Amino acid sequence: MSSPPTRSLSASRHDAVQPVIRATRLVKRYGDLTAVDGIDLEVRQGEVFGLLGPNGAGKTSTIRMTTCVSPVDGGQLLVDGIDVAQDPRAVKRLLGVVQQEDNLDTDLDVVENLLIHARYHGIGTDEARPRAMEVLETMDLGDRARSAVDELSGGMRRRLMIARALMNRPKVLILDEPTTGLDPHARHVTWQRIRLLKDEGVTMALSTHYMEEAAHLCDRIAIIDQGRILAEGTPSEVVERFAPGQVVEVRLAPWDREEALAHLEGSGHTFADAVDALLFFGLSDGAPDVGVPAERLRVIRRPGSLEDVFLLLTGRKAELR
Amino acid sequence: MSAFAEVSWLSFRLWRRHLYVFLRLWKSDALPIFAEPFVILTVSGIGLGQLIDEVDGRSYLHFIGPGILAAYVMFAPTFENSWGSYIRMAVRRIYDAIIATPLSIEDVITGEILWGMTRALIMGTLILAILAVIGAVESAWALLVLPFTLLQGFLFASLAMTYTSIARSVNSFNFFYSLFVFPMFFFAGVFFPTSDLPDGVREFSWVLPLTPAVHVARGLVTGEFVWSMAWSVLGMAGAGLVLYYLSLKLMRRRLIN
Repeated sequence: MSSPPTRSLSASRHDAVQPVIRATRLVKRYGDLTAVDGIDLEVRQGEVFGLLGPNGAGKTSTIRMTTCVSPVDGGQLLVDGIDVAQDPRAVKRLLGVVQQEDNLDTDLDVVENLLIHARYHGIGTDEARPRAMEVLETMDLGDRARSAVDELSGGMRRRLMIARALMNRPKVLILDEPTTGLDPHARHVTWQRIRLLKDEGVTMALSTHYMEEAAHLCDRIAIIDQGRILAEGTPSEVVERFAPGQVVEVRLAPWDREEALAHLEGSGHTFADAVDALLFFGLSDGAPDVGVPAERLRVIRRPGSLEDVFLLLTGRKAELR
Repeated sequence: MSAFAEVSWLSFRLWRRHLYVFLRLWKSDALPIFAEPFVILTVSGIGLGQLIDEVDGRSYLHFIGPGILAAYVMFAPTFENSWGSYIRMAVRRIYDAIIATPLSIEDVITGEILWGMTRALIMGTLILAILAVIGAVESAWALLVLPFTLLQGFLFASLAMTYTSIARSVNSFNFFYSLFVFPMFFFAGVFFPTSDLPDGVREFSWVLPLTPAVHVARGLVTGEFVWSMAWSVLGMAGAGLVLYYLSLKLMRRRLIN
């Protein structure tokens, strides 16, 4: 977290040539299903990188390969230059991992969770104790050190998992859907704390299907679907590229949807099917003809967002020009 | 044999976690651990012992004492590495957190089995002490039963771990206990010599892993050594190694995919 300046300087010089995580033509298969289909990606020192995609897109598979709990079936995956297939122990020493499911040790209280986890990393209790208090403070759990894990709220448990992942001062913190299942308040607290870590220079790679989360936290994102990367860049670059200017949102009744989709077949429009609405991209003015009387539609013209791009790229019936 | 190559000393980091939790909870755990074998020894040894004259030339208490010891040295790692390990793996999911640290899945499973062995040793020590207090230990050789509990613990911890690696839910253990573990308690020579079993059942009893354990424990506690004890020890070590290897393989297949 608060690393001495000399160390971070040398680290950034080193990492100018070598990203913290680099995937090259990475493949993961489960039987006939190709979950990750030859992706290339990079996570650079000091950035927050977001992997965005619907459920089943390949996000968790990619994360599991990075954390060495899922074998790589093709391509190469390097963490700080170390191949995950060659030396998983060395890779895991460098990582802090926050899994999607709660896996805190309920036989232990809050601070014991941190101390025992530090021991798995070979960090003795004397060294780990001040570190534990520091990360608890960072995660706004300073007054909960002696609480039983079962007494914590869902948001606190998630923050404790983040605190635990920070115990070994990881080179990169990996968060798999860090706010899934949290209520809005807990989600905002978690975001606030992740931003705090970002300000302290912690490199992070996270997966999410919340666009707001990606827009809030990430310096760079990649949108993944069916195991392939469909877009990559800063959130604003991605929006600028796929949804420049205005998006026309046409809201329609469920019984009009099939008709509108049939009408649009071959129309040349770039649109996303958001089920309760159709999103049109690249229309300079006016509303598109969707073959449904105008009084049965609600047309909204607004700036494009990451969510629009997400729906355009990962939507079930998206038609690309 | 690549599974063994993934095992390292880091296993003891998980073993220390278990020891820590045990030492913190032992006050609430100790009484039931102690009470059950004590009750069964007094009831069957002293109660039934009044009805039964002698078995194999010694009092009934002297006969069942080592048998009860071996049975409870089986139960301790069996519980630990079936319910206990399954809940840690599939309900609490702490293995997922631990294998994200430098420990391999093989280290985790080895740490679990080492702890099962430790529970076997604790149980064996406790029961030997009870036997000594109630005068059911005849020879100082009985102390040799303590290192033997580690071997027995290794066998039963590995056996339970192998079952855990293929268990589909907590309910799967009902089969394991009602069809395998508890029948052993009655057919492995704890309460009466296996030679008293009818033909067919007697041969069956010799493939139950508790039978050689009872045989060796009885020989050590009474100080009467026979050659067949050596074969029992070898057989248990061999079976333990095979099951240990199997549990490593199956757990990797289950959790690393």
